[in-house]
Amino acid sequence: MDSMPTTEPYLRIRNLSKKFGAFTALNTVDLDIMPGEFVSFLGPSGCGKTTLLRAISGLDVQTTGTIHQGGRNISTLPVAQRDFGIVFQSYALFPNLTIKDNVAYGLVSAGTPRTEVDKRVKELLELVGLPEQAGKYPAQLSGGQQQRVALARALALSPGLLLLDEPLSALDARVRARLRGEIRDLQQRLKLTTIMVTHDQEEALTMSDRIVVMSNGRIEQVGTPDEIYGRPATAFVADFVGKMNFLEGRLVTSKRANVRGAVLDFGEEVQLGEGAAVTVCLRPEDVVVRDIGEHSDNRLSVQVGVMEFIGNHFATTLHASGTSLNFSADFSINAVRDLGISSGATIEVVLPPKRLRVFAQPRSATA
Amino acid sequence: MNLCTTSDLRCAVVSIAAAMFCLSTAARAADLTVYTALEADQIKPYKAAFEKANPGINILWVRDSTGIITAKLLAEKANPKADVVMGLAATSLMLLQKEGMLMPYAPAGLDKVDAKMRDPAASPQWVGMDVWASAFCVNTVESSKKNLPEPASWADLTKPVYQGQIAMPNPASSGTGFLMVSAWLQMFGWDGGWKYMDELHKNIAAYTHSGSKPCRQAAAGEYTIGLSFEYRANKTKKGGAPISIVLPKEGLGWDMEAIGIMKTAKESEAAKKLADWAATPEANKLYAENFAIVALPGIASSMEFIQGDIDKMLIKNDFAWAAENRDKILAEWSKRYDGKSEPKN
Amino acid sequence: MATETLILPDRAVAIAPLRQKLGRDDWIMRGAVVALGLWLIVTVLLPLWALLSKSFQATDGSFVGLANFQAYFANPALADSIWHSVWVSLLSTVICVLLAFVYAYGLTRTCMPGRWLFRIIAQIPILAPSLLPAISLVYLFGNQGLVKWMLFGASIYGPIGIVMGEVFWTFPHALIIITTALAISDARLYEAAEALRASPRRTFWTVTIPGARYGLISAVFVVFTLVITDFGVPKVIGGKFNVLATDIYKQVVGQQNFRMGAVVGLILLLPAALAFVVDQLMQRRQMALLSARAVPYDPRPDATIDRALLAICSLIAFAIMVILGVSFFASIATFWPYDLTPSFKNFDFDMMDGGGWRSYFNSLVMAGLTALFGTAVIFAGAYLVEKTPRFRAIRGFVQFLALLALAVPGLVLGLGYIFFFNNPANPLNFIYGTMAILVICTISHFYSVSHLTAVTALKQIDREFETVSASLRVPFWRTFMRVTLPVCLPAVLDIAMYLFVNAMTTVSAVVFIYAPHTTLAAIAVLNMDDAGDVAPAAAMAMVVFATAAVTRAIYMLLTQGYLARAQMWRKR
Repeated sequence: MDSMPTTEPYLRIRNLSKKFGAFTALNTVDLDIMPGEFVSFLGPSGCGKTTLLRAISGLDVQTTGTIHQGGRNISTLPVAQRDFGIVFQSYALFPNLTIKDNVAYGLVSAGTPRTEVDKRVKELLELVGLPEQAGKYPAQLSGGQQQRVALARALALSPGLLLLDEPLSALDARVRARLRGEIRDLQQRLKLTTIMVTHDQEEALTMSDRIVVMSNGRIEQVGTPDEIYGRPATAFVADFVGKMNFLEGRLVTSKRANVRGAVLDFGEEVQLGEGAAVTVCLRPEDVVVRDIGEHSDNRLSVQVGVMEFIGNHFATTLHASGTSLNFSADFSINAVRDLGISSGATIEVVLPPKRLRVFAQPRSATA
Repeated sequence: MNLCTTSDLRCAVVSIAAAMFCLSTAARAADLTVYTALEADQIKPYKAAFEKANPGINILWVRDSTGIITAKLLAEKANPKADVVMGLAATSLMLLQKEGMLMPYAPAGLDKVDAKMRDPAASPQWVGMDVWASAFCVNTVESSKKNLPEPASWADLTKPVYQGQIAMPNPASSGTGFLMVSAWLQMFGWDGGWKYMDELHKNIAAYTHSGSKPCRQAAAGEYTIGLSFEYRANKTKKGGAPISIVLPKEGLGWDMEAIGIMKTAKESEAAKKLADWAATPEANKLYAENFAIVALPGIASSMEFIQGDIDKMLIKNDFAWAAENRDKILAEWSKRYDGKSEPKN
Repeated sequence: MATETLILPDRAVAIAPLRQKLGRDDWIMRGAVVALGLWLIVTVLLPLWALLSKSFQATDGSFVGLANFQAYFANPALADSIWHSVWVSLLSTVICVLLAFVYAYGLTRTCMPGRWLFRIIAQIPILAPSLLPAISLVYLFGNQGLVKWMLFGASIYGPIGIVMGEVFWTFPHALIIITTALAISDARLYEAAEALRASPRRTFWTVTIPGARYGLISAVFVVFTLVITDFGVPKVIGGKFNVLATDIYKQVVGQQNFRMGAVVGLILLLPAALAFVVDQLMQRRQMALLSARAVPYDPRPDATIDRALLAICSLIAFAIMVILGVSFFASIATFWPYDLTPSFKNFDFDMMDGGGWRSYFNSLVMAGLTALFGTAVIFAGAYLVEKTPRFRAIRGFVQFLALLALAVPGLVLGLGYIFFFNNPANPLNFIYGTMAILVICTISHFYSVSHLTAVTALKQIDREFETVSASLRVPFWRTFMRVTLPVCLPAVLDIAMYLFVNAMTTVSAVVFIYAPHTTLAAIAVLNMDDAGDVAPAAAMAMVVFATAAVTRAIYMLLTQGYLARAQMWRKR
């Protein structure tokens, strides 16, 4: 976060690699996580996000590299000597113990006096909003409730670090959306450094302070949700997070490209040299149709293709007149109604230069 | 090794616990390991009487057929487990004697023992207990059903009418089986004996592991005639079996049951006590309940179903020859009759 | 971030991978895995090795190469045994698997009435020593047999008796495997066949049989191994028909010729090892066949098929009941066949060979201890093998040893125990002749199946329990006792039950290593039969059966009553 005070990072990962035989699961990863920060590891399956979490937790020690937690070198410590609470996708609640016994599990083993255990369990169950369920067995609770119990159990020993391994994947959409907010809220109240592994970009974008996007065992970009979404550092990130038009063209100047006959300007300079092949990225929702009277930059006259009603907006394909450029665009329902946009109509649109991202070709992903 | 004396569950549990968790050797009174081929129903009274007379000594029986006990003793020669061998055929004991495994010892009261029934040396390595002799058990119900004449002699058994009707013990495992084969070879000569057995083999339905089994099978009518020995015949008939007991007129094969102490006996004092007891009138009275002839002359037998004077019917038996040739006889027998195809019945 | 990509390859190789420091749990678990490995080496591998090396030695212990094998094959009677064993086992296997398939088909694919009863009856043979069917067959088809005429003059003593006895005894084993194979088939295949208008016959040959083929192959090998290594049936009813299993007994017990016993044991090991390998392969494929989305087949009533299978299954169940019933009646008859008044005369075991009632109590103790210690060792062992982090090579080796026992026939294991433990130079020599060696041998003999049961149960529980516990700094043994064990309780009880019943009925391994004061009930059956006390032998077999059956019944009541209540948490 921009406003983060410059303190020592709580978790400092340096030069971390993990090899399984000939396969490299993590390739020289460096990462700092600040105290109290909520960081998500985001990426497709096999990108190394789970491997990174397992290295941090000590479940699978890295091949090379170091991890410091709160100034302590934990690189090769066994699981039990590290300091974290963990919540799994499967909840991993002990089925034969009551909710209370599940939450109290670590406390009892640590020899905490009974009255204190009871007090703490009550506190934790209230924290996760389940004060009434202490006597039940896990199988008697809903999935969302079980996940909250797992969270309470992970917090019982007040760990310095909370690890969430795909915590919401097993839940249905509505419960998932609600729990996102609850977990984030809880994390902020406790100011608990938290790492979440997820393949769900929406989850990462809504919950995190920062997102670590990973691919092929490498970190592609680290940034706030806004940065990741709005200013993807690589074509991979641009493709993986949100919808994106990938438009192939050639540089005319360092701030202008010819994209299939359409000339587009962009905000940043691109130092690739004239005539270099580039990919220009544009989010469909960044296509502007309203209030474009005085705009002249990147103004295109386009023909509207088939209009798809998505629910809260329309998606369509636009064809720029006089060029071979096609790209998709999202229009709000208001705009469609107000401007009378319909399939086959010709309208004027603006592609704001600041919203265009330019990458050198070739890019790995295809639009 | 932790060994138990009484046959109850608690003892078993204790012995297992002890065996599993510690190396304790028996610190109790002497546990005397006795290898025997005596019948299971005989050893109880013998043990009870001996232990009553010699408090503090417990007999642990290792019981099996004569052939198996003999083979076991020979196999364990390097590391013998037995203290005493009791109730084993004299031919087998002579084999052990030849191997130098027995301890010379003259039990108290040796002078009263029938001279024929002991190792002739002044300190004998074995002393006889009783004589057991061959006998047929013939199932009367089955033989009348099948219209079979009652066999009276060894020769009768080779008649074709008895084809598939006869069971006899395997001489390799059974002492009763061996004494029959030994008797035939001595009565009919080496060649004559084998010729007789070739004929008999045609009628034999089964060779059994134990010497008692043929009589019991005859009793159950499984086979009509069982070649066995007189103790089992008497006992089986007493148990209500519809059998008649035949003593073949050519003469009875016989052997002595005898006792000897192992040279390596760990409990040699207790072993000597058992050898002493075995030659007492009390012990001989117990033998006499089971056999017609016992080591001490003049003790009356009480075998109610045995008719005829067994003493007179015994063949002249050369034990030394039998012991000497035991291996050769068994090898020849095995070659001729063992593992051959099914009898045609 | 992560922009530095140029690492020289040789430098990368030179860096040794990091090793995690071992925590307390790691040390303890690894120590326990190693201990378990040593235990299995001592109780399975070394006895087996002792047997192997013995077969290449002369009496004085010098190496003689294949001389013992040459001697074995030079004796035509002994070499015949191989051929006898093979064809009798093949015939028994074919008959048994066919019958079991039909029976299993009736249980899983039809709506015939009384399927629960048929299931129970089919399990009867497992509860009795293999000597029981042989004794019953003598009573049924022997010279005084009740239905001797059914053999048309042929003798029950020999291959006919062996095959009949073995089919009875191995039937439940084949049935369990085939029932499982049929039960897991996918109903959608049948729906597809129906939609394609395949005739029932065509459906049977193109869907049912291929679906069950791995189960069938597995059953064939399991039954073949059981038959060729069984010794109880041919001992009682084989007459003069020699087979490998009785040869080994004759050589070792009858003639105390241990080297020749080792030779026969080694020969016996070959088919068993082959069967083991094939079975492992089949099971792996069967697993692959079972897709996660398979829909269980739900049979529909079909009057013709239901009636036909009811008839066949009734016949098989009737045969099982008759064989059990005959032993029962023979055991309570005063003097079979001449005096059939009921009495308990035949239960006066103390006046007979085999060790009397003491043998029975010994068996109870032995089976109890086997169930207790065996379950503890095997379940804890399976847990360690499954859950110890990393340590792959050692865990793999221990897993191999745990499964190895399955490939070793009981007779061979027992013989190996003589060679290994009766050696005065062995520091473990002191357990020879004790109850302990019987318990250890029986645990080893039945280790593999129990181990697999435990592993299956452990694989079904959440893999992350241990991680969560470690992150809460709870030692692993606490989680084992508080969570893993209670959750796996049904499987644990299954193992205990399996060990108890098998320890009560087993003859093959322990027949070589019992001592005068550790005689066992099933061996008493053998010895009494040997001495001609057939009715008391039947009586003892019935006592063993009754014990196993009652234990089993108690177990079922427990699992359905108390256990159901204690495991409330399983219900929603």
